[in-house]
Amino acid sequence: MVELLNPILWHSIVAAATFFVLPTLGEIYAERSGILNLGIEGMVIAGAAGSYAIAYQTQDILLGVLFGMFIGGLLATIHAILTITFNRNQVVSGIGLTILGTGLSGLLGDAVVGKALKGIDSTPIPILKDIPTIGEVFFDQNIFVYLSFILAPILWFILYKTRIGILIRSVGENPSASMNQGVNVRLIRYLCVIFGGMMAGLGGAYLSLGWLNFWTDGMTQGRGWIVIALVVVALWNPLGAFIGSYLFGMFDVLQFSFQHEAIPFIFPTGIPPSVLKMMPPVSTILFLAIWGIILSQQKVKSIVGAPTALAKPFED
Amino acid sequence: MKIANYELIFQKRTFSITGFRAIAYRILFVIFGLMTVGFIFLLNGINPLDLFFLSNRSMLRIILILLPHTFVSFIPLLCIAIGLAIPFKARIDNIGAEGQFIMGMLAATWTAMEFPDLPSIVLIPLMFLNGFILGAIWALPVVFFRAKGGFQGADVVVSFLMVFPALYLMQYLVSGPWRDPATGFAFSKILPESAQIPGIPIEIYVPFLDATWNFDPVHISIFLVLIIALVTYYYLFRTEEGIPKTKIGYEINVTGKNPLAGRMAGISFFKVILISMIISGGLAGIAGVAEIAGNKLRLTVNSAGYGFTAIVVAYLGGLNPIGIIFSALFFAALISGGTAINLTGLPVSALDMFSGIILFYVLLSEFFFRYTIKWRRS
Repeated sequence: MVELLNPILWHSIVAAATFFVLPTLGEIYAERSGILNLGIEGMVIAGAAGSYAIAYQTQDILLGVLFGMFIGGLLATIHAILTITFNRNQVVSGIGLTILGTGLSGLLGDAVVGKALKGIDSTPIPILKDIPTIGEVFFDQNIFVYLSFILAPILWFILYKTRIGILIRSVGENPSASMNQGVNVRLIRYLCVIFGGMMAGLGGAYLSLGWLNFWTDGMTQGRGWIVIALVVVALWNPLGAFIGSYLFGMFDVLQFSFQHEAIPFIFPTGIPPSVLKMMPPVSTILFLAIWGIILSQQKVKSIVGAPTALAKPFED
Repeated sequence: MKIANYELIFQKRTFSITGFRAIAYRILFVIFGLMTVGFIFLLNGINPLDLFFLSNRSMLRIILILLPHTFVSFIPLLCIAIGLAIPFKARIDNIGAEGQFIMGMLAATWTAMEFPDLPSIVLIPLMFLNGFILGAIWALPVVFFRAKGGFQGADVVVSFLMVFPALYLMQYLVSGPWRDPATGFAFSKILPESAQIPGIPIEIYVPFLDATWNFDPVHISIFLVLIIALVTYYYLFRTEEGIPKTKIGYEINVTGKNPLAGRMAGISFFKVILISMIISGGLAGIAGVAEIAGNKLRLTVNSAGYGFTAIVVAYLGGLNPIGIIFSALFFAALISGGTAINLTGLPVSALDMFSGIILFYVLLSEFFFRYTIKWRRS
């Protein structure tokens, strides 16, 4: 039987969840400002490849991470120009971004495929790590994980309790009204989309430098798309993103625990790995199905506060 | 937008550009795309002119030598892209054609292994039918999420995520129950002869290339695909003075352009989604059958990724079957030229980069159909 209470298992769930937290926080800001960016997968994978390549060549992890964020921000800028300045279809542009990012990752990471690099060490937090079990699971991780702990509440605070947050949400809710109030709608949307791209790039850097410590083509395995589903599950709320990410982190990690479980008649010698790999996407789809039915009620939508102007073209 | 003393303004055209001028604009923007990719190559220390034209192993030469082989990728690209153009036109974003394509390949293999004794004339149509059905089934979740989903983008995410179960199902079958014990690799058995799509092998010697063109037997399914292109054009895309001639074509158009007006006029949103997604998934499935029975002849663990390239093909072709024939030819040639990219030391994924950039430029070109840009001193 799978040992569900094993701290090592939960340690790796935290590591997997952190990957989801970072890009999801960025995408929440982009969507709150009214721009749907489906290119997360492309920005994450290009960020992962770029940061690993730079970190390998310069032997400087920090430089690699910054480069990953730069690549993510750069790709997001393309999306921003097309969708905000030129008012193009956000879905198609996002798909283009994914294709471009995947190609770019192959180019950037070509030189470092399979090359080993010492990633970021875990830095245990002095007193907190001594708490039994919890300390081992949460406070014996690397700096990215702590960053995600800090960023989620900070970004929640900015979005709901500050003037900037109100501006972002109003731009996503009713851009024309905001513009009449003298708000620079385009500027705010640009900043939010680019911030989203940089967070996706950071997530990519975490994937290759902080978590898995290698680079190979297609290593995200579609996790970037799960981020887009996560934004909805999180109800466009940074704190919700944190909870949702841990849920999907569990899907991601638990699949490996079932590798030696036999199911009578169907898989008598254990579940094959390719069947287990289906678990994260299939559970996401099922989750979205249930969530979609709940969210389709207009009343629920207004309570939840989904951005009304999301993915709608805005011409002034 | 202001830059120094000048102001950039977008001016709406009185008439939007259509017809040949639109095509010319598209070609111009594709050239911009080529130049952008060339610039990226230059940053990587590779001379793009060398790559495309000059050297002995240039892309152009390889494309010409491999011309008959471009049809190998032309068939699936065209078939999938036409299938995609229908939902895209109705603003339904089906980006999971890859999964539907894989299901088509599985359906073909299953049918061929289950009924190897049927004569070709029965078996091959049966394979296409099963491919269509399984591909369409794989597209159905998108219908549900598009019609009932509570938020933007659910259909896109779901259509993409459906690729993974299909891919892993194929990997499971190929490395497990369907594995050919005769080889050491994860391959399925070669299809029985009755399930292979016949063709007429042609060999032409081309003097100026100093090479022989070997037309593969796959080419008999090219007729099927071209017929599909013409039929979908006739029944779904044909327009007169900009208005679709058939009822369903009109409904698809309205759903895409103005769903609210469509609903007022009594067009069933659900019906349009259902029909366009069934055709879309089904055509991707058919492409999968043609790929297995005409080209690969056995399943392997990976797929060529035609489903994603086809998205770009569909948009480059202006979401119109006739345009898609040409854009599919263009991309099929590029895929075989990708071998040339590989020879220069760049990874094959550089082709993906190219597709992405082309898609951006095509999107941008559509902006200039309706607007012009002017600089004005402020």
